[in-house]
Amino acid sequence: MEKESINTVEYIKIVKEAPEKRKGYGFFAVTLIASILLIVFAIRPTILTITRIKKEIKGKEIMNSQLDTKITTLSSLDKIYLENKESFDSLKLIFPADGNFSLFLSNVDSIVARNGFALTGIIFDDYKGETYKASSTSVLKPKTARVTVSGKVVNIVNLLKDFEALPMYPVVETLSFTNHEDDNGMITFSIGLRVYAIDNNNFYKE
Amino acid sequence: MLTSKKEPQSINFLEPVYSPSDIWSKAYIWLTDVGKYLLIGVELVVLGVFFSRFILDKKNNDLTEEINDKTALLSNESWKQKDALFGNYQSLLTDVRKVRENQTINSTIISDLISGIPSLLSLDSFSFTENRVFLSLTSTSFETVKNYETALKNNPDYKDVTFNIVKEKSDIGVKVTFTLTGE
Repeated sequence: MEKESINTVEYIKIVKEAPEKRKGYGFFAVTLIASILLIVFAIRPTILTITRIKKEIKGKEIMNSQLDTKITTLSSLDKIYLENKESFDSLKLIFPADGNFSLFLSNVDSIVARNGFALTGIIFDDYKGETYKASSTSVLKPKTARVTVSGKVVNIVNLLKDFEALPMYPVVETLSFTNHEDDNGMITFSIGLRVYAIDNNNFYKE
Repeated sequence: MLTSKKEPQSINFLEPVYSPSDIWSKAYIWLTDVGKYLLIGVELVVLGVFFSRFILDKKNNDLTEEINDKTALLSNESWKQKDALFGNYQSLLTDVRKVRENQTINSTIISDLISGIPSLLSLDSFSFTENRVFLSLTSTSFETVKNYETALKNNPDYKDVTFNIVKEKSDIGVKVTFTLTGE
């Protein structure tokens, strides 16, 4: 009976301290190292490659959709432009890019005559005023048109209102007159108008 | 002869049937047992990636081709010019909107200034320069001048109102300067 119990204890001892078990731990460590090496040098690079390609595809998809949008936008803008070409062409005259204020001059001439004034002079100059903030517009640059007219004081307000109703959006910045009538009973008025132009000759070039 | 080898009387379940003792044999067994599954696992992953790369590379190449086609189309001189022209028009229309919305109608202000001068005051000269106003007036009534001065000084639309009154014989000469508050 005692012999049997000794055998069992020995067996347990053999199981616990067996050299086989130590070797098993060693091979477990080898398995772990091999797994880590395979993960680091085989699986990780392939997953990284896939991730990189996916990222690349995502970037290209965004770029592709942006290009699509641009093409669609340009096509629709081209359609709108062709439909409203006349209106767009009139902008060249309203806001000239080549310093040609012919439309403004003809409008001023007719407005002056309509209000019973006589146009005695008009000069275009660089804008030196302080009321307009040049940074507020990126394309339109202010210019000063000094208009000299002779007429009656009672009509001056209507003349100024007509000036400011022009499609070029001119602004009366200065007005000066002295109530001294000439031989024809007319007074000379000096009017400073802020007008807008574009400082780029190629602005409207297609 | 047949009975010379002693048969074991018990079975030890703790002893493996075959247990190699040398390290090379053990390594060989590990390689064919655990290592095999490790390699199969890795190969499965690599094969999966390999096949998925076919799909992804195709998609990538198709997209590159599509982008190149579209870029070539947009690089066309006609499209480039249209792009620039429409961009210019867009900037211009934005500016026109800003100018229109921020435009101050000074003709109305000048109208108010001229119509605000009392009839008993005679306007000799008028100057309006960027919100600064100068009036030269004459009158025979001092009271009218004083009333006009009070009216201007009490008007919140005007500031820095100065009156320079000069008596010339029967006439009173008045030089008025003030600034529009612009509110």
